[in-house]
Amino acid sequence: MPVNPSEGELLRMAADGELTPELQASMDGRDQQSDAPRVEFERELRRRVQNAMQDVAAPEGLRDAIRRAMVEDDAGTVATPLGDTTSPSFWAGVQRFAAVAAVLLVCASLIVVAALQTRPEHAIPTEQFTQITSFVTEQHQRACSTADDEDSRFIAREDQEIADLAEHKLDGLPPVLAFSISAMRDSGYRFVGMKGCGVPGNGASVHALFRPEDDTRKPVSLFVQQDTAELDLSKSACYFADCKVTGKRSIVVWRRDGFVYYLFSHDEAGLKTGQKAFGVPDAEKPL
Amino acid sequence: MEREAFEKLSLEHIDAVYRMALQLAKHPEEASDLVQETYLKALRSAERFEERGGGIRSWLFTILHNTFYSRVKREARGPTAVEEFYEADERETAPHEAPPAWDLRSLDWEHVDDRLKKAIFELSEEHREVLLLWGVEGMKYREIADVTGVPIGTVMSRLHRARKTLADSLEEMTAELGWSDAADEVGRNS
Repeated sequence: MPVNPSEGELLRMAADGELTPELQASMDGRDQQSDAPRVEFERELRRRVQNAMQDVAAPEGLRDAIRRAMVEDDAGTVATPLGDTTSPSFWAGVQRFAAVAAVLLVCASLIVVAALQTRPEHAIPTEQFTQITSFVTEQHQRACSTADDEDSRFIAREDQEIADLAEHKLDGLPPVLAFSISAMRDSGYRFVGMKGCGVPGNGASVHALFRPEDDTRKPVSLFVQQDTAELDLSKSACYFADCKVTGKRSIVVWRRDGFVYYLFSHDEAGLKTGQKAFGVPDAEKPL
Repeated sequence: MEREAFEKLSLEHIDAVYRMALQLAKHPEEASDLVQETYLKALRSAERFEERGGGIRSWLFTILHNTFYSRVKREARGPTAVEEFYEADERETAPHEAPPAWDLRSLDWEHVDDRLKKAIFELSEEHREVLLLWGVEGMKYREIADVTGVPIGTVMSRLHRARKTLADSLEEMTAELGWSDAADEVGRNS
């Protein structure tokens, strides 16, 4: 760290929360009225950089490609017990091929079994289901980290900021957001903020996070996506899905007013609170 | 660590890793390739992550950083190109001028986003990388130094220089668009 930073360095470090106690003392001795807007400029710049650059998701298929590569690589690693030689032996190669072939055969079997176990009673195809539920689960879990910087990503906090972000991302403010934040607050959930995100599909999306005032409860996420009619869901019902990890109902999805809403919580009570606050249709179907 | 456990833990961060790879490589296909190589390297050295402790996200970024610059070195056409990437920026100093005092929130979101994206795209890889680790991933200077393998002073210089470049670009934009309030504030502060 610079011992005698320039004015520019000092103010940027202050904006970043990187001042040492000694530098903080230097900062305290300065003209706060002059410094405050400059520090705020840098903080806002950071938020704008995040907003401009964060909305990028890995392409579809990359995750699966990496998983396949990991399986193959792992199979190759397992086949090393013949000896720690620097050059691969013929038999090591045969073992590796056999291991990879075995893995592929198992995978193919699973795919056949999965295909036979169709989900006729479910509303959307398996691939869409997997993509959407995986995405909202991961985003919610990441947001639920207790680190302060996770909350700071939810940059739209005030009414005007929410409206601006919704206009920017969704071409309009979803009606649900207009009344639900106060309803959630009345039910003991603090609105942390909202940010852009990338729910799979063609519609742009945002993610709103609510944290419970009561430590015994768990956070609630609401994802809102422009409705591009990709999901064949009735507008008079809501659709639920269970979390793969806990096996409990964690996701509720519904369509209304040109948007698709995804409600997520690991806490069934939180989910019910959200359903009530957001005016979710009563009729339920499996997603 | 078992592969499945590692896969679950590491793939949580695939969007962040891809985002950074795209900013480094600038091409989606190359970025995807870079990400795959990063994850395979991470899997093969998973025991080192467990020994080291710390966050997996930072560790993945470190591997991504090293993988990208190894590729650059391999693909370099001559010593000049390599030196452009490996010449440390110790001589580079952070900008001394104070940040502007005008209210960035008064600017239109869409214009700012587009201008920032353009300005970020035009930064060098080193400046863009530290800016994104700071701005998008929310990392502290020390973490960025660990990921990029440069001294913390270099991180600060690059980061502050990148931010000054963005601020200058936004000031130009306000002048171009004739947004008098911000432009007047700029005049008073220059």
